[in-house]
Amino acid sequence: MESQVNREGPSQPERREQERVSAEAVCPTKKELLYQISGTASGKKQLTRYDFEAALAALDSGDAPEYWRSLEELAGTKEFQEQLHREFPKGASEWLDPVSRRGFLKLMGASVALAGLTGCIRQPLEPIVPYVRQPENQVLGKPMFYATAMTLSGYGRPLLVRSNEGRPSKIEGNPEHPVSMGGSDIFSQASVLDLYDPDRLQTMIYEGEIRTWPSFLGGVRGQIAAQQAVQGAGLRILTETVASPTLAAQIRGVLQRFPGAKWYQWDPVNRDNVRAGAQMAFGQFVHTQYRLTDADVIVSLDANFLSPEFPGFTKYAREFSSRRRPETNPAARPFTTANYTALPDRPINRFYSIESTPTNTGAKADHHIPVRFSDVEKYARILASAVGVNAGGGNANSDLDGKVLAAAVKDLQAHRGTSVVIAGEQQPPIVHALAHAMNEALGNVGKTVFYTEPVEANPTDQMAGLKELVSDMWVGKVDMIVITALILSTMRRST
Amino acid sequence: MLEPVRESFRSGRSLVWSRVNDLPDYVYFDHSIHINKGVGCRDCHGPVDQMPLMWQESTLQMEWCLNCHRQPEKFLRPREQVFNMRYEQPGPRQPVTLDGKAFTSQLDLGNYLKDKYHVRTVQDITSCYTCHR
Repeated sequence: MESQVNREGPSQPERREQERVSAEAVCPTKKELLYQISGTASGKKQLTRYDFEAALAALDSGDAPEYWRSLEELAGTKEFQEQLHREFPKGASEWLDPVSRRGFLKLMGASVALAGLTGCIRQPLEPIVPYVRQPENQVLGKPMFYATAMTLSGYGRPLLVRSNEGRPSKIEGNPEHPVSMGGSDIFSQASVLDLYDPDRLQTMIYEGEIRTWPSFLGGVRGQIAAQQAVQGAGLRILTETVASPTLAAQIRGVLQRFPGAKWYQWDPVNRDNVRAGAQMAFGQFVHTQYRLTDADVIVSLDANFLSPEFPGFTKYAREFSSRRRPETNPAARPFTTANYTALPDRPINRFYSIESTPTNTGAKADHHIPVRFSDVEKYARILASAVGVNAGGGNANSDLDGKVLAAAVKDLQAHRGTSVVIAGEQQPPIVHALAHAMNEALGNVGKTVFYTEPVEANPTDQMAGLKELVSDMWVGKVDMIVITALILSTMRRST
Repeated sequence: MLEPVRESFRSGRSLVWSRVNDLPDYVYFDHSIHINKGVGCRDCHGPVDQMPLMWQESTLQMEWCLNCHRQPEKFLRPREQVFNMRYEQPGPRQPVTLDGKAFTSQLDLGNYLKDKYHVRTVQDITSCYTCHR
């Protein structure tokens, strides 16, 4: 399309020059946008080749910093040092060069041109380019809504995306999905910007240069053949937590063909402790779900279950709030959503929160005990021993805490089968195991707490896996490593 | 005559149409309200049914827009006549009948239509914010 546009207008090259200079003065990224639209040769974005040699030399010399976020930082090149010290990238400084009278008038003229006041004469040619094959059901000007999902640490969040002529503009939860019921979270809302991220890879890149798919296949064929010869002993696959059955099946297919290969999953904020706690309690990995509509008493052990990090939090938020209604009159304020009818015949629930940092969830608590992160285990043991679990007991840090804990125990015992104890994601495995034991002792299993097959396709101890992978790499056992997109995108953003 | 369309379908490349009537991007222009309030196609776009190749008939300058916005009763026509390329404004010898009434002057008809179609006051539609949002 760019090549077909025949831009009319006075002094075309000069106009582009004006736009370029004043756009740089405005902001560096606008310059890039203008280049993409006008396609000037001088402005084509150059991808720089990574300087592997300098980085490797820095590693070998022993001078390298221990923590680094980009290869340039590791290499400590002069350009990088310069870039650190300049507040604005180099392009903007052309604005400060001594400007002749002619140049000054050009710049002033450029800002006028950009402001569009020259639109009085005749508009530059704006072509109308219709679809050749219009997407189904699309009426230009009317948005289309697509039901989709976004994965966050492996868990899919059901979403409804509003798309205007193929441009996603707003994300909401999918109102027909039983988990979200139309609710979304900050990560889902923010993810619409991910789709417009200029750093998002649009082509294949090899060492900083654009390549095609056939060239990738050709380059990797040799490696694959070499791995086949050794049954894949040097092949490693590193992914984020995979909950997709399709992806897991594909990876398992690869592992079958290369029996020596290994698959590791890694999320920086992962649920290793949850998995280890389940392993400790049940001897296998299970996924825990709660039904808070049936819970009269909720005790949270540093569990932030009303916050987006907690899987299924949209459901828990709705369920929790459906029980926060003080009215007992059935006619009062029916709570109407697709999946919930009013529950005014049930009394309001009571929520005890033991937490180590101020959270949204704790703010909703009726009784709130702030403790150090490491003390949550102690308090969990106190609670557990009181409800009949062999946990060792102990003493609370203060009298007030002791009183609140005693009250919580009394409440829990009075509501066997209609209470729930939730352990925080980041708490050590023993706290999770204690929570499981308490729920069991109180008879909550099957009523407010449900155990299902793990959602992850391949639940593992991710930290141990990563350590093994890194140690393998250090001794040179790894010839070929395949890293999937989500991890790579977080790495690339930090470069 | 339709060969470009067939070629576009075969190759998958869109037809690139040149935009003839184009306003600057800082102007907000809503086409639908003009059609719904009784502004005829021909008044702004000219006799397009007689154009072998489309051209821009009006200057589309702000003063040209304001010319009508300041006195809409001089230009309004019944909604049914908006697409009619042969429409003539009412005169003593060619009345325009609407709602059982025969109008012989454009000002009469225009004022009647201003009421009927709830055209906003001149002060409203000549305010800066109407177009420069």
